[in-house]
Amino acid sequence: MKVEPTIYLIDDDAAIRDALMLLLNLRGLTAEAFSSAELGLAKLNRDSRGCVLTDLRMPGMSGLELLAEINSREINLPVVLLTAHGDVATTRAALRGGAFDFLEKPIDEDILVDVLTHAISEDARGHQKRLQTETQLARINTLTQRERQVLTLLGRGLQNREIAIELAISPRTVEVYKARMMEKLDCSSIADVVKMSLLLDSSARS
Amino acid sequence: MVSHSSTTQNSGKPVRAGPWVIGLYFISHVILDAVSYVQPVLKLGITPLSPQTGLVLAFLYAYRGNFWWVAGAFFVSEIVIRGIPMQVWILPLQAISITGVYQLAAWLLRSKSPMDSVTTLNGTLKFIAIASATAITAGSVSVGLYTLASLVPAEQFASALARFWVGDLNGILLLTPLLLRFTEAPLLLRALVTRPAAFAGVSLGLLASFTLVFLVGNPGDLRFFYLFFVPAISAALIWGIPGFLLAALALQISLVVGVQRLSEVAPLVDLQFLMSTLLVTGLALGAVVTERENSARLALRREKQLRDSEANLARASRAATTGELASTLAHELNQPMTALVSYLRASEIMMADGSRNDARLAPTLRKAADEALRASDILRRLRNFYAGRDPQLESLELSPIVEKLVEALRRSERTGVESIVLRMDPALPNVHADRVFIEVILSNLIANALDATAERPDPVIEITAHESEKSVHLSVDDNGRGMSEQIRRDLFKAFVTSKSDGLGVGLAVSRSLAEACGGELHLAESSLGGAKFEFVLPIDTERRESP
Repeated sequence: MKVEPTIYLIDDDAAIRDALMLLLNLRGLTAEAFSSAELGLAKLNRDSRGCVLTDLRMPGMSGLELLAEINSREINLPVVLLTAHGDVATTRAALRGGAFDFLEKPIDEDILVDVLTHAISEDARGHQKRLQTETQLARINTLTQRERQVLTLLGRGLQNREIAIELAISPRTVEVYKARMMEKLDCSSIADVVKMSLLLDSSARS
Repeated sequence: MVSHSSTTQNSGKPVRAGPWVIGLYFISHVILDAVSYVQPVLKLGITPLSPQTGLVLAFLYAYRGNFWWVAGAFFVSEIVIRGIPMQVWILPLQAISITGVYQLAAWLLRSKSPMDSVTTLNGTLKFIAIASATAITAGSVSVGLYTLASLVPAEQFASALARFWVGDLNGILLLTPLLLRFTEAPLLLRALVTRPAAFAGVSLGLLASFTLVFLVGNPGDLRFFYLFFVPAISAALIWGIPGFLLAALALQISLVVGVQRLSEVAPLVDLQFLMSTLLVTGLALGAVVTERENSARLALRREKQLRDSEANLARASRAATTGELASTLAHELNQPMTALVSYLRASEIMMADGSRNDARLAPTLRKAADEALRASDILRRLRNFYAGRDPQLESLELSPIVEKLVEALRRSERTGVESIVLRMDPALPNVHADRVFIEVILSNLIANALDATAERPDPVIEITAHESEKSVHLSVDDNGRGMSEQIRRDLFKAFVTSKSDGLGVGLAVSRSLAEACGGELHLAESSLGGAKFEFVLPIDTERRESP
């Protein structure tokens, strides 16, 4: 399921929507326009790819509120905010709220396209990473009880002999578990194993 | 020649006159004494006219360190004019004691009624009292000494004292202020020249009175003297104290001349008593006139200063309120600019692609032009506001303006906007005002209310409008922290604020805008416990009568 990355443009000003849509399309970007944050939000979900380009001041839900809503719904799209006059307080609130970038109107078209392209590739990378993590977690789930224990102890930096004593099995058996585990997880080095154990830790924690 | 600045008055050190001033004083003293040596009592220095006393007081007032020169002048003129009496000891004693009295009088005058204050009624009355007391003291000392020396018979003591007193008093009343305010002569001259008809009238009046009193009428008949009051009092009424003193000087000279040249006139002493009355009346009247003129001039100057500062303020505060307004307008302005720039860039791309006949090009350029017009419209509004244009009064429905503004505020990110409650009377008549001014005032009041209620857990801002007495009362009330008595008093002055980050010009500007619409803006009693501002707008009466 390949989704075309889309720029979700949200602005209450019809002329701005029209002009930016035209410009973005000419620059070869796919965009969709919405006249309010509510309408845009209704269209977004966790599978949406691309980024959000939204005005700050709008009737109803504001740009900052939209940003908070996107974060809480784990939509995972970078949000670029547009403002007519960037005051420090709003900028800080936007960046603390996890905005990808903050642009002042009128926008320099090159900067806009640059920021949006970055946002889209950032989204793609993030999406890729999330997919990878999911695959790896799925692989970890295939491990047996013993293999999982060996993975955890290796992650803590223990040697084979020490693991054998800890688990009260022979060092040779540890070697067998380790080889099987590395094969299942598609690890080629001890560094990969440590990464996997960290991923296991973080998923166990969350 | 005269110095009576506050520094010389207040320093304890004696101020000495230069040799020229002393010489001039000395000679004038002797000459004045000589020419006024008219109708003396028993050839003593007791004449009903002593202009030299006015000179002495003025001299000691300006130069307090010249006691011995004054005493010397008294001594010398006594010998030169009246010769050495049998009792020689009386001469230095009299000179020193009289100088002492005048030295005291000069000190009293400096501390109680400096010459600057002989422009007000109060100061002038004090001056008259001091002059009178000085004359009677100097007279008592002088006549007392003569009596002791048996030069004056004891039974003549009272009449001699009266003669002495009136002579000294008139001398002081006339000459002291004339001499000490000599520096203002150019001012008086200009005042005389600017009213030539009045000047001619008063001069003719003096001349006519003199002719009637001394030449036509019976000079012995004192009733004619009252004719002199007419020109003298006229001078006081027209030019104040300086004009009166000038007229009185002319009158005094003519009295001396008249009495010396013509026989069978009334005794000078009787004329001098009338002269005293005239001097006191004229000085008091002149003081009232001068005082009123001065305060009018002062008021005029203050008014001008106030106008200047108001103009400055209007400019400064327009720039400052516009901080808020400009921020709103910048937002508005940036909308069309953003669209405009985007349309133009899009057109550029379309043309660069070589697809010159891209069907989208023409409409895009037209849209760009529309956006440019939209931007210029906003700019014009901004410029109008900065230029401080006159209000454009029109018949306006208030409710939609208020609702639209509050709606716009609700859309903004400001916290607390949800606490705004609108209570507009549905049957509100149209108002006669400027739409933009109403918007600026109302946003200002709401912004203040939002600030005041920011820290409250349960903020309430109530906007109400109702009709009352041919006007619409639009008020913004809140349950915020209210304001201190100090702030309340100076509320509408510029640069007064309870906010840490405010300039304090918003309300001052709002009020001036309200007044420009023929309305008013004031603080009212809050029913929510915070602050309530009431904006009173005139009703559009034409609209109302013909709906």
